[in-house]
Amino acid sequence: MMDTASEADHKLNVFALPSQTSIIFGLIVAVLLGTVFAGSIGPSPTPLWPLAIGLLLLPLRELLARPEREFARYGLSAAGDALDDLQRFVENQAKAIGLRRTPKLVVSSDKRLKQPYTFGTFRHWYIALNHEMAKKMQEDLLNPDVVPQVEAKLVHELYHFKTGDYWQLGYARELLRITFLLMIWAATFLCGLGFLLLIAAPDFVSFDFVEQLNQIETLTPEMREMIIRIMPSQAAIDQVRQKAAEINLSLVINFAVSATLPFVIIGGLLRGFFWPKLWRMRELYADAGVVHTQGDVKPYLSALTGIPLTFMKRYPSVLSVGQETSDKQTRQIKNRIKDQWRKVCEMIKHHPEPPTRIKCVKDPGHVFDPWFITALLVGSLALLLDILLSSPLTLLYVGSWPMHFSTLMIMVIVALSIIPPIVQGRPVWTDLVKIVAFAMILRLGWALLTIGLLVVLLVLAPGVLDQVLAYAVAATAHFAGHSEQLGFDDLTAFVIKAAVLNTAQVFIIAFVLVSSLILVAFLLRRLLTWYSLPHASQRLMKIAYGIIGVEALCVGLAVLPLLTTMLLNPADLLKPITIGVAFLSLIITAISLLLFLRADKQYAMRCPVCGAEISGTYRIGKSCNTCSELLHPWLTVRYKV
Amino acid sequence: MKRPGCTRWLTRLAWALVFIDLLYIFLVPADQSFDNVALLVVCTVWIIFSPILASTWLMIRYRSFFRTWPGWITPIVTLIFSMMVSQGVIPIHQPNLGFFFTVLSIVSGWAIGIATIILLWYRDVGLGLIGWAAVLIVWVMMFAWRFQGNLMEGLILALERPNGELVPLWWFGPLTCVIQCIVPLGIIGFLGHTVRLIIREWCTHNPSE
Amino acid sequence: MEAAKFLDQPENREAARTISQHVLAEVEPSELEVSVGLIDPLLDMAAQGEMATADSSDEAGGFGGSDLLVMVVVPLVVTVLGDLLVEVGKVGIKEIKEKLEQRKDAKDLILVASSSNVDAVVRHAQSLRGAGRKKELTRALATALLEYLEVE
Repeated sequence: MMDTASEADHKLNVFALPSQTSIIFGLIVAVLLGTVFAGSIGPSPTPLWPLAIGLLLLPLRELLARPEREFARYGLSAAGDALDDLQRFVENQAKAIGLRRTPKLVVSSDKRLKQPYTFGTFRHWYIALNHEMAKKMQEDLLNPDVVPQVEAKLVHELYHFKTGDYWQLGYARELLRITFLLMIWAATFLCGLGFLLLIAAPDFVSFDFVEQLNQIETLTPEMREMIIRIMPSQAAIDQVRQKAAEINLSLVINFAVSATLPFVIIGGLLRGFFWPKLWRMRELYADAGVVHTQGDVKPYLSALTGIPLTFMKRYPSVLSVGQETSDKQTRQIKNRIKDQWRKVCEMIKHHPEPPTRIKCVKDPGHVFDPWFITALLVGSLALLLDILLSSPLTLLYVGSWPMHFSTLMIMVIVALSIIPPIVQGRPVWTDLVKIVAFAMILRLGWALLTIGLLVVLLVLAPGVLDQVLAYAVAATAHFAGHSEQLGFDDLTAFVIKAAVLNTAQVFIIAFVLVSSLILVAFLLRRLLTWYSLPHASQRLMKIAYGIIGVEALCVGLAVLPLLTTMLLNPADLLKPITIGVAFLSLIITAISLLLFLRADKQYAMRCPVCGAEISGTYRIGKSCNTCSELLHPWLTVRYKV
Repeated sequence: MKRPGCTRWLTRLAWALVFIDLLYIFLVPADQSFDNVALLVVCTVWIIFSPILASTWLMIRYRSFFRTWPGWITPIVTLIFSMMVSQGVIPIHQPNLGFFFTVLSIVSGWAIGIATIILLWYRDVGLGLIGWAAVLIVWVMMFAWRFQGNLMEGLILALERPNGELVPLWWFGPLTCVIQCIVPLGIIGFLGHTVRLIIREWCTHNPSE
Repeated sequence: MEAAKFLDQPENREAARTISQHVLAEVEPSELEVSVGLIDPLLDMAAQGEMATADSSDEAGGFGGSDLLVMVVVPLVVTVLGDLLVEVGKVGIKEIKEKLEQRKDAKDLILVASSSNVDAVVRHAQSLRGAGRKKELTRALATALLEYLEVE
């Protein structure tokens, strides 16, 4: 243990801050489930609510079924009496870190199982091991020099249960898999149905059932009469025939493909890049759990590298400050390109690179992404969401404000991501602006690309543009297959209006985002000065989430709808529903602000022990100038580096 | 639980039944007339129900094969082939052989149900079966309508045929049989496995260990 | 010469440490910051004839591998220095420098020693990262040795 309590000794407690694993998990779920729920609101020729319910519940079901699949996959079985000592060790460690249940050890002789891993449902947890490895671990428990290494590996696995990432990953995995399968199925089924209707419709329209029935000589008049009575009336059949004649079935097929394809592509992108990121993030938290529990990095390093602990213990500072002996500029261009390529390849790996893991243990602030990575994450996801929400399933229902869902998502994620730098006392204003600017540049790029295409077509081939637009509108859920007579009266006016409105929306939303995030940052920084808040370790972060939630409510229900309505349909501004919803959200925001100010007056800037006034903003490791009490000790952790 | 000896005897009995039925089918002339109506009824009931009973037991006995996908597909393929023969798509001039395939088509139709039950008992694939069965129906009907013309007319015309033959819609029988097995059993299987998973989640001891 | 005897002398150990740092800085500068503290324990292992094996597994849910380049670099440096000592017949790094100054084939000696040991060390360490960087490692090691031993 460190003898002197200095700021340098206090490390950021990553578990006290918003979990990055949960944020990425929330993103994946929000993109997939959120868009389907958005599409299931309101009328649609295709009932979407069963799909929404299915996508919500089926992954849960598959999560419950996961243990039996894992048992079958590796031929796992319960550890048995021979490994009682190891099981007891696991139980003790589980209790030590505060787990509410003990995972069961299960073993296998399958050579594919090279490392311990965890899986489970909400109430049944398992740690799977190779039989040989389990025996070795149990033997190692008798050697005091090696016990910390064994403990490090097991505590790492136990922390997956502690943080809950085992069920988050389980659910996200099944959601991605089921979305992909469901969309492939839907596309195959709808295309087949479309082709069938395409081929059968002419026959159906011209088919005279009564005449066919009369040609069957084997039927008696009474049987004929009975069958005719069972069949729908002629008027009803004529009505159906008329509707069938109006349907443009090629548009139905177009709708089927354009409704499902975006989900397949975006599901694929989520699976390809965000899914491995989720895996990598959880490992960093589990590593942090190990060093928090053991109070020392050496057992973790020993477990990671295989270097025996006895060798490591000879040296007091294994993770000493590194020396940047090489000027990176002198590295050859070829090597630098290779480095960048390696970084790209690392994006699809399930584990962070060992240097990254060690860096995060040495300085937990590295667990949280720098502004550029956050910008890339939110920007790319927002763009994917915008594209997904433009698909036929959802465009009409979010057509009035297509950017709002993604805007709120950016707001919430960025607000959560600025909490760690605020806790570390770093300025966040420039990072905020850069992140929003990056996300908006991506959106602007997309908007300009589509507008550019419209303009080019308008100039070079207006007839083609007219057809394309009519086709696109007809392909939406509301019109799917009903009519292709959806021409535009004034194409030029439409293109100009679309260009102006879409471009304006990007800048307006950028301004709204930056303003609201600066306000959130200010409030969060102020919140962190509530040193005398009772039970701050349990309440402070909840209040932070509350601030972000109220801000999102205000922006989502008042600011954005009002601005968009003003831009697109000024006449709708005076509608009671518009005013009502905006007013309600402003009332909630005002009340929340009053409560915040009241609590701020009570708890801010005062030492919880001696009551002395503490000036300045909070940064990790800050203590009272009068009594040297460490402020917000729950935000810090100390372990030997 | 049946004792192993009992299982062995039942299996032998089932094989014996199969052997006897084959002897009957191939040795008794197909156009054999029966003066005694009761005898006719008994023979008919025997030739239909004894292979069904025997095949049911044998499928249960050899369920390790039928719980795999090839095992599940085997009775479907058998039904398709035997329907093709009995509907005249594949002409067979041997009356006893024709009779054999007719009986086989009845037994296969039943066997599909048993195979589906076995498959769904051991594998949680109910939802997938229903889903892909729907895709199968749609695409088969699409191709059939494209290459065989108006299916509605075809089905109505089939009513006029003296023996109830469906040619050229011979595929309709197997398809209907498969769907009629898959849909209800698939729903039961899906719900059953869901209930099982929920119950197991709330048990203290997980029986998957 | 056995690595144990060679690394017993402080200046030899210091040489191995410095050369390892230079090689790492050249081949993987981003790893240097976290790996420099592992050089000494790895030297202790090398002194006892042991080598840590890298684990390149990336199985989802597993503990994860550790395929740090330092786990290849340190044993490689020790092996090559050991070979040079045997070739030159001296015990200490100072004497090696003096001896190599007199030899016309010093540079070739170092280059051969660098390139001939990489395969074996990478294979023994089971390092996939090392396997993909053999040329870089050889080049960096040769450069670091030539620089440290002041051979032109």
